[in-house]
Amino acid sequence: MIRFEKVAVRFPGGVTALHELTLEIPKGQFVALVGASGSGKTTALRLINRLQDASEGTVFVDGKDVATRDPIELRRSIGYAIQGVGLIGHMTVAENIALVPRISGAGKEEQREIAKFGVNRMHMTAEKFLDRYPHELSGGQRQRVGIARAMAADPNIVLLDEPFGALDNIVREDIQDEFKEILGGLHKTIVLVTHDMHEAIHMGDRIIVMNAGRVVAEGTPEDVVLRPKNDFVKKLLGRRRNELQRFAKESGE
Amino acid sequence: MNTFVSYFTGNQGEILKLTLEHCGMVGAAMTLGILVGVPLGILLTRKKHLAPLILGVTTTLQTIPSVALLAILMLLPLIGGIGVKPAITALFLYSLLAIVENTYAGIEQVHRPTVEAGRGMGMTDTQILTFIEIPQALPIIVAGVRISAVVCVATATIASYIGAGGLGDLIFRGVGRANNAMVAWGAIPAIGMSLTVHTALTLFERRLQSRTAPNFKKIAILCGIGAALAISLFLFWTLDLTGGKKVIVGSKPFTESELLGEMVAQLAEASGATVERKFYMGGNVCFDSVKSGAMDAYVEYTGTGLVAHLKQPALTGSARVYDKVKRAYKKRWDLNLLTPLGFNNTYAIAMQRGEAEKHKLSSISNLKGRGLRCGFDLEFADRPDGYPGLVKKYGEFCKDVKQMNPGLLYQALANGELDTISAYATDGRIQTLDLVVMKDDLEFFPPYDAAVLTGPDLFAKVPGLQEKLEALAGEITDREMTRLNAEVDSKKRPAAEVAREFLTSLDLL
Repeated sequence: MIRFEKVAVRFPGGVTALHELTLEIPKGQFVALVGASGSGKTTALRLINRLQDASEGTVFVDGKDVATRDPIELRRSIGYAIQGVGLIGHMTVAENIALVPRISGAGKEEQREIAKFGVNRMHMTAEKFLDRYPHELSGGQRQRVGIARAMAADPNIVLLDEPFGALDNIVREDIQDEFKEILGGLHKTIVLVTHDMHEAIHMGDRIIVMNAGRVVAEGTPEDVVLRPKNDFVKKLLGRRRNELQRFAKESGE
Repeated sequence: MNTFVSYFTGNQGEILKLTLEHCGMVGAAMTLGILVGVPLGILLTRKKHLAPLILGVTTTLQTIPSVALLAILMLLPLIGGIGVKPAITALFLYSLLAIVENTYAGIEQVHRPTVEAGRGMGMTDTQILTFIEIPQALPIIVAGVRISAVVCVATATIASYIGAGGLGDLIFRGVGRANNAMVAWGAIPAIGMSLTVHTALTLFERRLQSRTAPNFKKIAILCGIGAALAISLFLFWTLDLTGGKKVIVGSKPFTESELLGEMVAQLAEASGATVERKFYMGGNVCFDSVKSGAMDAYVEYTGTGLVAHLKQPALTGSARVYDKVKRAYKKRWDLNLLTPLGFNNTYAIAMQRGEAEKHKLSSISNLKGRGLRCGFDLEFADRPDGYPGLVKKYGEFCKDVKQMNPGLLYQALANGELDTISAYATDGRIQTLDLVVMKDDLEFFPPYDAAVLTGPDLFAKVPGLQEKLEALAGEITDREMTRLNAEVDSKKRPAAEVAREFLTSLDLL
């Protein structure tokens, strides 16, 4: 479980990225944080694994204040994948996937097993992909490897920061479907940051809409999209409002 | 072409030795450069506010002319003196810029999301550096090392100026003697070395860029072996293995000085000393070195001592000048100027015989107002007893003054690119190129009697040497010296052989 209590983040220079954010993400829930750039959604995500420290308030992960935890150990216990994936170019797929187990001290064979399991889980053939380098993969394949890497140490929490941002629309939807299917069966707490309402509706059990460092709406996709609470959400739905509402209904059923 | 080949076959051993010295110097300097430069570059990426300062310093170092940097380093304690230590220090300082800059830039350009992802996955700063940043920056770091190394190979030739050896020895000596084969055999191995380093490192960069994982263990082992080799070579040279018995004999950068240096060196060897020769050293390096105790002996000229070292106005009268200089050397620096060797190698103004006869020129007074194309060696051009004083005494006669290495002056005169040059009265080329010396009719030039100058403890260190050196006093006439110079410059015989022959003829060996 993840809990934010009156968390504020101010950057040097006086910019306030988050205003007194309070929210709770129950264990096993798939939450999508949606908002435009500058809304504070990425800052909120980075608070969870201490890539960002709170200026005020407290973030709890599994009941413990993260400020009291060793950031390295905390991060290793939480899966993390970002836009453009951040795969390391001079390492093979296997080496990339097994990175966290490796830096945590896993042996060579264990690393290989983890990597094999990781690619298989992402519906990729181990023999074919394990020894390839990132530049030899398609965008979609890189994305899969990125997610496999985030899950390699079998964390209970996985943070995804615009993981599908670099993909074109058609590939993106396929992969979103696939991930939803894979991730849905794992009962992990997943926080997805995205600017794409369609993606949020499609992937999230729950949507949190953010603007200018505050939560402006939250609830199930249907709650948020079918009954827009305020002008901001309406604006975010924009011209695709009808299409998104239809989509939310379908997803809900 | 023939002389080119025969020079090689006759001097393979020396060429190889100097090439190895050159490699060692470059290797030691580059090893230091990498050991200091890469961590420094990494530090700058962590402490960005230091970057402008440190990069400013390394850039400034790069802008100091190499000869000036060597001259400054020579005067410093520990790394100073003559020989490889200041040379390696200078090369090391020059190597830093490209290495530090490329390491810094290489790490700065590493894809930030990759680093961010690494941090988010729980990598420590050290793991981010070793797993992500260094491997990703490696091609650029290697490019920096390559640029530094190529520059270093070329710059290392200057090290000869302060007696550090290397291929510069052949180049400087060859230029001094107008021996093109010698210059070429100094340059060719240096070019080969540059190309080898360049090609090897370029291939290495390409392999790294191909993105397949470099084998870091292998690279580390190779680097380790290279570093160990370079450091042991460096220690081998800097440690004085022969102890206090070693005698260092120097010479200025021209044939006559080398010949006389050879004579002193051979006499010291005949007295049982181990001699290290530091020949073809630049400008005042010999005098500074004897003064500081880094050199034991070389042959100086009384006129140079009077004007350049004692800073006194030029005087005429051989005996008077010698006496004055000898006493001042002893009193001020406890140095011994032995009895002059016999010849007076004063400065002279020389022309081609044909030209001089055509215009009926025989004395410097005749030259006044003729607007000649003049070429002077660097010292002559600005010494009060050189060109500036000459103009005061005789009036202006140059329309254009070129300053260059003494060896090149004669060639330029012979080619007709210059009308008149500064020359040494006993230079062998005055004979072989059929030049005439303009008479110093107003007695401007002070005497330049050659005499051995020694440090305070040489004779205590090598008993019997003083008698041998004194026996040489007065034995070398102007004519004899000119002949000996011509043996080396025109007949291209080794100076050591000509010196030995002469000493044997005097029954001193």
